[in-house]
Amino acid sequence: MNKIVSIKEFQKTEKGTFTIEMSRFIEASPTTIWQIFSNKATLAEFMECEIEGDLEIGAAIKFIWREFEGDKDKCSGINGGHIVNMIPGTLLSFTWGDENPARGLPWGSTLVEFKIEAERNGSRVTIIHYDLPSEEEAHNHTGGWTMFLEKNTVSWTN
Amino acid sequence: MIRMMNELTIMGEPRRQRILNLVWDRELSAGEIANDLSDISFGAVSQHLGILVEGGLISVRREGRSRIYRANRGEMGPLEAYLTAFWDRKLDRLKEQAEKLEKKKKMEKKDE
Repeated sequence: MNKIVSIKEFQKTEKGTFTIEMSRFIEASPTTIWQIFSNKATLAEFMECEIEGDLEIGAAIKFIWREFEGDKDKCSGINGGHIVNMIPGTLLSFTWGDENPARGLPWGSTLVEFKIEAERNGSRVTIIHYDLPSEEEAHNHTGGWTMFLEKNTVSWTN
Repeated sequence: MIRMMNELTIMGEPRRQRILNLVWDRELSAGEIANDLSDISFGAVSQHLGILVEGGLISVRREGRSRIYRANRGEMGPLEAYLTAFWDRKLDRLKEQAEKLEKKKKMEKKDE
């Protein structure tokens, strides 16, 4: 049986931003994983959204999320920035933010890396999301996440 | 006594993270969720579902005798809980997609 290994970290860096890191062992070669990352259609299938822009270093990229409300298909948000690096079989990185900064992260303000390493009979894929603002910074910039936190605070009487 | 519970507290529990991932982009009944979390009782699953609904992280609707759950993606936050669940779900998706593609490539190679 194929064992799934997941490592998750939420670390504060010296500059006061946060990093999320998580990985999985996948029973597929780095070439196969790269095939998914380097093709717009398969990358869109993986991200479960529409992708706008070319997969080239420096190109702008948009991840467009759609949801069905009843029978109506509507855009529920757009994330993205630009492609920072593409190393075949090894790395895809791009900046990431929200088109609507009131939702939290300014456009292209954080960095996402998809790293591929050969491991046993497959690959280890690691997703690292850098430069995430602290709750306090997010509040200073946008009021976004703190607003969500307050909005979703639940109180009840025992 | 007034008790406060925020999303971070809610999402600090691994079972609730798992439930959120399961209903991230599809609707599932309580029974289907309980089948996935087979190492804990149905009562414990119900309790976790109740906390997630109360916290506004998932919503519930009735369909006949079943209760159907789905993530409230627009309400997600704070950042850590949102992104952890988001990227975790994407890795699950990638694993499924890549292993399927690898098998297809091996089959094609065999047929040559």
